[in-house]
Amino acid sequence: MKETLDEINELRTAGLIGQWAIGGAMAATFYLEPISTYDLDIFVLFEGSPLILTLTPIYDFLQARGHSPDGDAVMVHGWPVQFLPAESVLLREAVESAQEVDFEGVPSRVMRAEHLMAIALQTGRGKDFARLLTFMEAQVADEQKLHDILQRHGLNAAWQRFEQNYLNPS
Amino acid sequence: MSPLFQKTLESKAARRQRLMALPYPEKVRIVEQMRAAALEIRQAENSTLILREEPSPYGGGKA
Repeated sequence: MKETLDEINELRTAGLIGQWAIGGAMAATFYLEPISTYDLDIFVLFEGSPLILTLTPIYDFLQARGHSPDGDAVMVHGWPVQFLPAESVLLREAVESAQEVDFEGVPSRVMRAEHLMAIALQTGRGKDFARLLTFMEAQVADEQKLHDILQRHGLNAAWQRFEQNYLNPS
Repeated sequence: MSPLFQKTLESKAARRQRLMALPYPEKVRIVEQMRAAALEIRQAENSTLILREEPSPYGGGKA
């Protein structure tokens, strides 16, 4: 994955993307045990172009460097990379406050556990709740930070439902 | 809960803790191995060499 992250940094250097961060299962893997996944979710901000309508420049740049499209992803050094614009306020905040990680010499960014939990809650699929439970069991999140995020993004009611259904079922 | 079951749960929890404590690049390598295995299984779906189990008749089949 080191070479894959190198290519993402090249996109940033070329000015095609702004700040970026690993999200999804590969970000959760940073805090938890390894989670089986097919692709690498890269959430990106676009500086100076708030109305970006297409990811084509990213795909073209990568294709010119020998990386071909693979469904809705691009295969970069063996990893299908899915570029996801961080469009919502929560996703933007998650990218902006991501943790700087040195991945075998390659500077990378990984979303923080509290943001991953809030995003999982907002996404709300079965696997998101399962991951949220794993985060709770692992006690890797700062509870105060998590509740601040939930409060800021109007997720308190969703959290109460999650607690009721999964943490304190009666 | 039986002592044996309790011991199994504790050993599973300890194993998860060990996995969580691994450095990130090492965890990524494990994910890559899991992914390769999953893709291999997916590609073998049409193979006639695989012995297929009948689906369990949960909630249906038997009256």
